[in-house]
Amino acid sequence: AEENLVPTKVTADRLTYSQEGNRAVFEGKVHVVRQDMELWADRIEIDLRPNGDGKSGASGPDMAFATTEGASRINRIIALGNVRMRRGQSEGKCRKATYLADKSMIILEGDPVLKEGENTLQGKEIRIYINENRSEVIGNTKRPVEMIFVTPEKGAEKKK
Amino acid sequence: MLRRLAVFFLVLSLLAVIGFALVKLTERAGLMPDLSGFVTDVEIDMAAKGIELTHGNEGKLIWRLRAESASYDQEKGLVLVQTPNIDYFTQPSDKLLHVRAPQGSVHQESSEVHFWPEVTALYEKASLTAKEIMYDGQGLLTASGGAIVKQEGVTLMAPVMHFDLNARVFVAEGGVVVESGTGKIFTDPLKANAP
Repeated sequence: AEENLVPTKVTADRLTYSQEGNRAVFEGKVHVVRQDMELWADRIEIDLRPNGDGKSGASGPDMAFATTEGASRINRIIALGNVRMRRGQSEGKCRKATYLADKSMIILEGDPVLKEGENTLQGKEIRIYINENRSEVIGNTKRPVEMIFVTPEKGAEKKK
Repeated sequence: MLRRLAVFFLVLSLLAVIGFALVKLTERAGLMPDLSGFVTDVEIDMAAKGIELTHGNEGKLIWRLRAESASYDQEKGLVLVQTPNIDYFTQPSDKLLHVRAPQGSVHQESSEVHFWPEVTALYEKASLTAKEIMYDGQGLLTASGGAIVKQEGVTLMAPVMHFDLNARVFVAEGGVVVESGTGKIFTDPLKANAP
């Protein structure tokens, strides 16, 4: 049956795929759009598990991995340089964002900042544990954890 | 907020596969890894019409060329082919790669193969179209003039694409656009070949 696919678009100056290296690299003004989500970066590197031990064990023609379930050969994705993300009211930026497939985890490094409306979260490193719906912000002396959240002024309701 | 970011990265995984489809177009097929044999077999010294050439090995068909006509330009050492239609059976999988174009030429000495304009290559569920496809006889294939690869709902467009069949590296440059989830784009090569 035909899958119901959500359109996703990537534009970049250049795409290189090395089969020996099991790596694809989008370079130059990389912009990814998927529904209301957008990502910008100077470079996105995608590392694959070698086909032999790919967990998918896709029996069909290799080309099948261009479909949704075929993506299970993804090992790691790294977005580098001027990384910006946006979805609705949420925005994020950092210098490096790494997605680790096996750990279902994303690591934001390089002065990461996440904003939602007027609330801001920043630190030296932000780790997002996807399956556990949990995240962790790590700071250091140079860049401590900092969270700014805005709450309505006390009694502001009454003033109206 | 963080969870949505996570979902976004998961989606990015899908996009990673886009380029892979392309190398697979060449990995198994090699697109034209061994067309040099085609040149030596075509020792014609005059034009021929309605030709069909086949090349086999141990009773197995490797490739078949059908064309309206072919002629040999002695001065340039060039075999010129009108409406070449090539069926190439990849080894060892025997999967069919089909390449067709209004014009084709093969340089006898360098084994350079050139197809133009509006070239179509089909392999399994993937298709490649371009204004021109050049194969340098050394393992480098270039699709130019606005190349488009389609594979099961995934479309990759770029002004130029290079397939290095030896190093197994694929490069699309000059401004790449990849779209996935744009509906099922699939042409059955065998149907495409039906007389």
